[in-house]
Amino acid sequence: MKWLRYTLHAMLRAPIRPALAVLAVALAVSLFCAVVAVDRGLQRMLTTSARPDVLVVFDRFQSCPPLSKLPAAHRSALEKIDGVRDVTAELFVISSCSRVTDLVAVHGVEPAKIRAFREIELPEADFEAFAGERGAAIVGKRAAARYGWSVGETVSLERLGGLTFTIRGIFEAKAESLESAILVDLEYLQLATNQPGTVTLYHVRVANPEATGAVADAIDRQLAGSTSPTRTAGERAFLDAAVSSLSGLVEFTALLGYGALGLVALGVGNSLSMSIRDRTREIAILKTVGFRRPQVLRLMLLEALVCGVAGGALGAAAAWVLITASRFELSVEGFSFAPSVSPALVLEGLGLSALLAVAAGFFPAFRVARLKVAAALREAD
Amino acid sequence: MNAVVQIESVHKIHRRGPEQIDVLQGVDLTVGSGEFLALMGPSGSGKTTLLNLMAGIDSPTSGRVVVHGRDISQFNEDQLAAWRTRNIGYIFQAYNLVPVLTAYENVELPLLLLRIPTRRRHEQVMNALETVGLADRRRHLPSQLSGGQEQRVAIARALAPDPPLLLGDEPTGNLDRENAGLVLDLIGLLCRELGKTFVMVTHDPKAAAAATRVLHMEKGVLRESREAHT
Repeated sequence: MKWLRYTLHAMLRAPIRPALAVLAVALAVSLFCAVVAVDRGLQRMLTTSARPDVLVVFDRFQSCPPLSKLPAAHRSALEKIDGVRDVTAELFVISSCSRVTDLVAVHGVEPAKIRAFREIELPEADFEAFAGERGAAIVGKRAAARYGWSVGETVSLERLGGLTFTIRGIFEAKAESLESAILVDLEYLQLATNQPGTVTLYHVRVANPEATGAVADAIDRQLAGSTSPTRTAGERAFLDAAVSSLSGLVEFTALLGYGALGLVALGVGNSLSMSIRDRTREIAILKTVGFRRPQVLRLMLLEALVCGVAGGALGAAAAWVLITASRFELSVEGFSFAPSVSPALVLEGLGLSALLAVAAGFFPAFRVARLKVAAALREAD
Repeated sequence: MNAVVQIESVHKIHRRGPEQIDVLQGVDLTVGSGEFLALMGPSGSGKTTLLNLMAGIDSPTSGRVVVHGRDISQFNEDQLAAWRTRNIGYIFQAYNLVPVLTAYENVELPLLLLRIPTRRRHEQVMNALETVGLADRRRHLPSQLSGGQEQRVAIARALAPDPPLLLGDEPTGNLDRENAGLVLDLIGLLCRELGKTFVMVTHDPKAAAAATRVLHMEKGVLRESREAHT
C-alpha cells in the first residue's frame, strides 16, 4: 500500500505524461471491448437464432434474403415432401437491405404457427389479442425499449410506406434477433405492402434433424422447375450466408481490437521509458537511500500497472456507455443483434491491459533497476 | 576513539574507452566515531569517489573499505543497498529531494524500506524534521522551499533512519553564506550532541573550518592538513 501511495503521488504530481498514457490505454481498451462485443454479439445471435431441425427455403436467385420473393403456392408442395413435419411462411419488410444501425424489421408471420417455430414469451391474453386482430402486432422487448413503445399504442412506420399496427404485446424471445423485430399477421403485411400471395421465405421443420441435408436437396429438386426455384439451407447456414457481409468485417475488426491492445504496450512502454529517462536522478537517489533492485523494479512496474488498470477501467467504462447503455444495435439483412460489453468482457479488457502494461514496462524498469548509483548521479549532473 | 570508517590501500580506476584514470591511488584513512571530517581538494582529485566508496554506492578496484567493522567492498549491490538504509545518511550538494514528494514524504522514504510500525515511522520522521527545524513545513513540496530549507530536509532524510555515519557531498555548495552557516551549525550539533560521524567533501575553506579534521586530496592521494577545531 505504501508503494502504491508513492507511485500515485509521483504520477499525480506530474500528471501530464501518465495521463496521456492512461488515455492511450483507455482508447485501446474501449476499441477492444467495442469490437469484441460486436463479434460476440453476432456469434450469440447466430447461436441463439438457429435451430437444428429447421430449414429455410428462399429465392434461389436472391443473394439478399429479405429481397427473396416466393409464391404462397409453394407451401402445398413443401408440405408434401418426405421428411417435412411442418411449414410456415414469413414475409420480411425492412427499410433497406444493407447494414444499418437503426433498422426497422417487420416480419409477417402466421399467428397460428409462430409459436411452433419460435420460442417467444408473452402473456397468453396478449397473444390471443394479437392473433385475433388484423393490424395487430407484437414487438420484441428490445424494439419496444428502443422506440419507447407500449402495449395499446398504434404505430405508423413512415419509412415503410406508412405501415400501421397496434401493439398488443411485448415479447421476449430465445432468438436474440427476434427481440428487435415487429411481428404482424402475414396476410395483413402482404396487403399493406401490396404483395399479396408473396412470402420472403418458408421455415420448414423436418421430422429427423439428421436428415436436413437430404430434405433440403429434395425441396430444391422439387421446386427447380417452378417459376420460383429455391435454395434451401439449414437455419444456421442461412443466417451465416445472410450476415456474411457483416461477419467478415466483424472478424477483421475483432483482429483490429486485439491489435489495439498493442497500443497499450506502446503507450505504457513509451511513457515509462520517457519517465525513467527524466527521473534518472530520482531513481539514483532512491538507490542511495537504500532501494534495492527488486524494489526499484517493483515501483516502476507498479506505475505501469496503474496506467494499465486506470486506462483499462476508463476504456471499458467508455465502451459500456457507448455500446450497452446506449442500447446500440446492429442489423444486417433484417437480423438484428445488440452487442453487449459484459462484465466478463470488462474483466478481460482490464486483465489484458494490465498484463500488457506490465509486460511493456518490464524492459525499461529492469534496465533502470540495474542502474549503477554513482554512474547515474554523474550522468544526471 | 572507535574507528567508524577504515579505508585500507584503496585504489579506484575509472576506464573511459582505452583511457585509464587512477582516481584513488592507495588511500588509507581512518575516521573515528563522532568525528566531523572535511575532505578538500581540487575538482577531479578523487574526494567524491572516496565518499561514494564509504557510502557503498561505488566499489574500489582494490583495497578494503570497512565501515563499523564490516568490509563493505565484499558486498553485492543489493546487500549494499540494504546496508545503506540503516548505516548511511547521504547528503548531496543539489539536495536531491524527490520533487513530487512533500518534505514529510521525502524524509519518510528511507524508513519505508525498514519494517517499522506506521506510528514509529511517523515519530522518526517528525523527530528528524524537528531536529532540522522544519516540522511546520512538512507538507511543502521541494519547489515550495528555499534552498536552505531543501538542504535541511535532505539532512532530515539522512537522519531519519538514525544512521551512525553521515556523508555530505558539498552539502553547503549551493547555499548562501547564512544558510551554509545554519547547515554547518546543524552538522556540528549532530556530531556533538547525537554522536554522529560526519564526512564532508567541500571546496569551501570556511565550511572546512567547521570540521574537527581537514584532509586534502590531490591526484588521488590523501594528505592530512589539520586537526584542530573542537
